[in-house]
Amino acid sequence: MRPYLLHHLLHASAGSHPEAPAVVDGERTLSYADLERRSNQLAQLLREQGVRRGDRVGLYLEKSAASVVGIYGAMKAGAAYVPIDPRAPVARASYIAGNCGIRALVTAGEKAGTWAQLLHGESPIEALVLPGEDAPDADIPRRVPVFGREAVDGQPAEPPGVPVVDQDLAYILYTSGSTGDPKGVMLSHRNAMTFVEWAADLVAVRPEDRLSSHAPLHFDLSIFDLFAAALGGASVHLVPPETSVFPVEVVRFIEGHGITVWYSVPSILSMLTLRGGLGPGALPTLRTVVFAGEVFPTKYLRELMRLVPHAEFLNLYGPTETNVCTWYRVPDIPEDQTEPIPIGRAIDNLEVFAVTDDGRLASPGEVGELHVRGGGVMQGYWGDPERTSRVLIANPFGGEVRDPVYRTGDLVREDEDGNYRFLGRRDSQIKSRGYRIELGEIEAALNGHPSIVECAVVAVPDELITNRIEAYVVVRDGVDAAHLIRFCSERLPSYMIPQRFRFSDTLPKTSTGKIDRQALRARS
Amino acid sequence: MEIAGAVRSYITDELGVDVRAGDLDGDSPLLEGVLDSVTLFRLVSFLEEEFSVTIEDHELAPENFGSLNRIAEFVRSKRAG
Repeated sequence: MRPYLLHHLLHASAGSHPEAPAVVDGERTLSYADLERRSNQLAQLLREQGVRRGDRVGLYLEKSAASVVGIYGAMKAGAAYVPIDPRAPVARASYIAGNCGIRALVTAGEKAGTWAQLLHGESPIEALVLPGEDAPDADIPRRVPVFGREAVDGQPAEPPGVPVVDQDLAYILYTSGSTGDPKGVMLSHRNAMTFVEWAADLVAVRPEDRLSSHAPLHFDLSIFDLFAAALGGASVHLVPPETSVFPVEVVRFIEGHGITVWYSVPSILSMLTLRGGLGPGALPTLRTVVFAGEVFPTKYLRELMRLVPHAEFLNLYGPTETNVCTWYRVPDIPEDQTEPIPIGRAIDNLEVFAVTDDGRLASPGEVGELHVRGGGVMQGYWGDPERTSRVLIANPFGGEVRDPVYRTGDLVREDEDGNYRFLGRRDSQIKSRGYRIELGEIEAALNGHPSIVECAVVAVPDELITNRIEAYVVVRDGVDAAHLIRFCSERLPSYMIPQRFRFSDTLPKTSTGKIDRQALRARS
Repeated sequence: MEIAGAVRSYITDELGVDVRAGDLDGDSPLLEGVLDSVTLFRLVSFLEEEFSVTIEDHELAPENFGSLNRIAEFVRSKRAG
């Protein structure tokens, strides 16, 4: 059978090489047969607990072998998996659970301290499952049942065989929303498979390959790591978060695990270039370096390519709403080039085009907003038809066939050779460390503080992480930066907390009375 | 200024991380939620400027950055060496 669902990829590799390593998590290795069986058992347990086709299963734990079991188990039960940043504030996790109606939560003892808050009276969560450990003795609100490893192990080893078609949702990824609440991007199996099949083919992933998994599971870079590995029968090696802090440790990880394919945001690669201690012959096993999420500063990319001359370098581009939509194989970069490399051209089975402000197709050389159509385009934002209809529009150039097209909000220009270049955003969305951030969401959080009279959050360009975030605040009493940082950290993930607070008596205004962000940016 | 104290102020006031000076003693672990790759880079620049030391790539390691005391000890040894 030709695989058409994400978990078919696992099933096929478990059949063809059951004993091969699928997931390497520290000292622990799960073979393809292990992963297949354990995720079948988890799916059986989820079914027993009432999870049905079309439901949502949350993942709220650090990336681990257990979380990968959770991903496959959820999909095999017919549900969409919803990865929640385990380091995000509980309030945010709770919002996500309520917003998309998470029925069962795959979690771990390390998050036990948050369960009481998550399982409040209005919470839709009806069961907690800890696939990787024994169920702890904890006081659980509403007597929500908690299942540990032994309950999973006791289930039948066969998949529950829930009928799923590739239009069904595979996962929902929450991303920053400009009005203050994160929005859930709904992606189907077909959406993911469009990307995974293309990517695994481009990179030629083989059973002997060892892929890194650096990005967290709530970040769509993880789709390549997990599923391109499964398609190719390769192993995926989870990079511990504490390893990523130190460039030399990352180098040691790549060399120690014999990583052949690395995928991450550029900022970590810039740090490797600057501080990784890379000498001649470093990273000998690395054959492909893939990056996405933000612009790679050209001078660091050129230097890394010089330090690792045996590897190919691929730039992937695309918002969560389409996963990757364009790609570019990086050629040798001339010494004097400072301009960023292009984002390239469309991947297989996707079409991209730029539309000018007056609604025409942009010609090469003209600036336009990038539009995407084809198999990768999301199904919409969960529970938000209004926001969905603003970005998923009927194909304006489709004639009788008005299929949905995604407006990215990214301004681009096509070169004469057919490669697109990213120029900037139409709105106040920014990137920092590859994360996309709506400055309005940070302002909305700050405006919730009783002492704040007004505030404006601005992005300050930064060579390593694309942008730093600074907040200009007018306060009515003596709150300090440490207090505001604490306040933000209870509401926002760490990458959205302003790195600097600047206090002033008033904020500059434009002639129309709006906060003059340009003037503020000039001050930073 | 005492090294650990200067580093503590830098972390609590300049790095945008959620940690209160009072919660951060000399042995508090810095690698469990306080420092990440980005804040480490900024901290290293601060140490190099503030204490006139040059930190080598291989010295960016948990044993030198795991706590305020370790950072202070590390900087002292750099200045002595």
